[in-house]
Amino acid sequence: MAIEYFKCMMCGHDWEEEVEKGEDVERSCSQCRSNSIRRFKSKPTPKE
Amino acid sequence: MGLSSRKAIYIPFPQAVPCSYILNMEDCLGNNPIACGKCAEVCEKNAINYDDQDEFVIREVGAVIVAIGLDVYDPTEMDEYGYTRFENVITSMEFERLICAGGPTAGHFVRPSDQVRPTRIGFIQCVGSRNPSIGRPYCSNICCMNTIKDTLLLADHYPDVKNVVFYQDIRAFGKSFEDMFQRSKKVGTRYVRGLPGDIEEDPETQNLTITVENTTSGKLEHHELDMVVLSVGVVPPEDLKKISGLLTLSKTSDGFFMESHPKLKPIDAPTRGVYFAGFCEAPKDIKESVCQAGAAASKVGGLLNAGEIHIEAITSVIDQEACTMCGVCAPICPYSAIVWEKGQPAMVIEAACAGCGACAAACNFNAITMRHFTDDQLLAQVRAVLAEKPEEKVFVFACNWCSYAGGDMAGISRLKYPSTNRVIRTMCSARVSEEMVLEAFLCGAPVVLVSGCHYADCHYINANRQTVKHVQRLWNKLERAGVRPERLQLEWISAAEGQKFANVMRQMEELRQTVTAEEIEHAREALKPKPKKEKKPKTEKEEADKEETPEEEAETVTS
Repeated sequence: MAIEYFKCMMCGHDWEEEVEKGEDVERSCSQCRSNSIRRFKSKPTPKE
Repeated sequence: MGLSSRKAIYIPFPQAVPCSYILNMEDCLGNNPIACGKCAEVCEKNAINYDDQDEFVIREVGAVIVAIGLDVYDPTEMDEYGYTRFENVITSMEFERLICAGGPTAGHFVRPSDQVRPTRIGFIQCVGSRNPSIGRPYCSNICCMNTIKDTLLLADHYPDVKNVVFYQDIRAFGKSFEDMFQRSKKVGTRYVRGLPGDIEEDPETQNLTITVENTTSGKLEHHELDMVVLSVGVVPPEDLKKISGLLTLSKTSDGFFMESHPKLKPIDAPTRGVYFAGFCEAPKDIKESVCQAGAAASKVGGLLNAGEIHIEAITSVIDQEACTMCGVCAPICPYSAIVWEKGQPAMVIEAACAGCGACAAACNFNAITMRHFTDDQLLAQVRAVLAEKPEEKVFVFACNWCSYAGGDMAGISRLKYPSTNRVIRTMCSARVSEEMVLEAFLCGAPVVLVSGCHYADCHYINANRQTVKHVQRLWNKLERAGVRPERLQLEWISAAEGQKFANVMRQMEELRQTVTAEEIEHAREALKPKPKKEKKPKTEKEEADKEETPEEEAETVTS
């Protein structure tokens, strides 16, 4: 298990989650239900 | 259970099919030289051949029915029920042996500790089923009815026996099942809603005390019983992984085989010519297994008697000269239809190719052509759609089976959504290559949406996981080029989700209105392909390394 970071590319909601190696999970944003979920291995730095 | 002994030659159980003897060579006194040989002497048919050995038999077949059955859950890990500590806690399978006329006690039901007939028996349901904490979240389907049958059997054999069933839900939905459940209650079986938290044993009498919260009354109850039967669930058979590898079959999250389509093709495996029967596909009772086996046999009959078979016209072709032998395409194919060996160009087995096009999208050297959905055809569509007033359009790639059909559903349902979207159909969302998306931005598309089937619905086993990888890579690429990555969106829309299709189109239109003319122009400039340098072909390892590089933050995504 490793912590990974996710960001919804529709509403901008971001969160972190424990991820199992080789998992096969369909993700959606808990706020807007969009499937445009970008995944980061390290915490993304907010842009100016 | 250690209640009786067995000879070295035996029939596994009286109802065994075929009803023939097995010689257990581990217990036999030996056959080289023959030490005893009495069984051969008395066999009038001369059926015993001591020289017979295990061997591999190779057969060429036109179809395969996978019916590898199930394994029963081993309750040793659920120590709270004391299966390993208390002799009088047994599993439902052991109960079957005890009550069976051909079993070790000739059907006389006794408890293991003292061989005395029990009069108070408890049944605990859902042991190894509907329990996510032990990785078994699914219902095993058969345990409720099996317990109901057991209580009726006990009531019939021993009218003085008091049965208590501890359950969370009784699922009696088959034909006459509810009637059986009511009969079980009528004969005096007590059903307590609640699963026990603890079992204790009286060291003297070896009776068991169950503590349970009755969730119907909200009270804590203690039940003293002579014996407890754990109604164990079922698990995928151990051989499933091996068979899965041999026949390139995929599994559901429960670990059972995944069918081609849950409603329309429940017998078919995604690999053509392979069918399922019974438990290996999902937990089911005998009646359902028999139905499935009949359906599988008739499908095989149809296939083998067809005389000729039609293969998919939409398949991939690899240009042997253009192939750089990198091998990237081979592991991507969900059907293992691409054969590749190091130093050799890859080859497509056309009979196995289902036509998702994931390989064509993954090939960096344009060596793979997808018949009827070639790169040139799709890129020409992109350019044609965006030839005029691209800034007013939302560009949508939709997969044939789900998202495109979802759009149809929105139309049939007369749902209103903005008319700015322009949809291009591909067989699978995995066919949408990075080049196609970038071409849309280069043509001036303000927003691009890639849409496909939900994970569980992917018509090409799991090809749409490649779509996620493409989109993740593109988000990184857009960001590096200074283009707002939000302009590329990804959605899973099923054929039934007309409403979702309409909602997504509304969201896309809102997003389109936020994209400025300057942004569109900047993307056109920033994403312009740079003049190509002479590249050396990438090896598979380099390709994998690239995906793992930390700078590429999101490259190894599967969701």
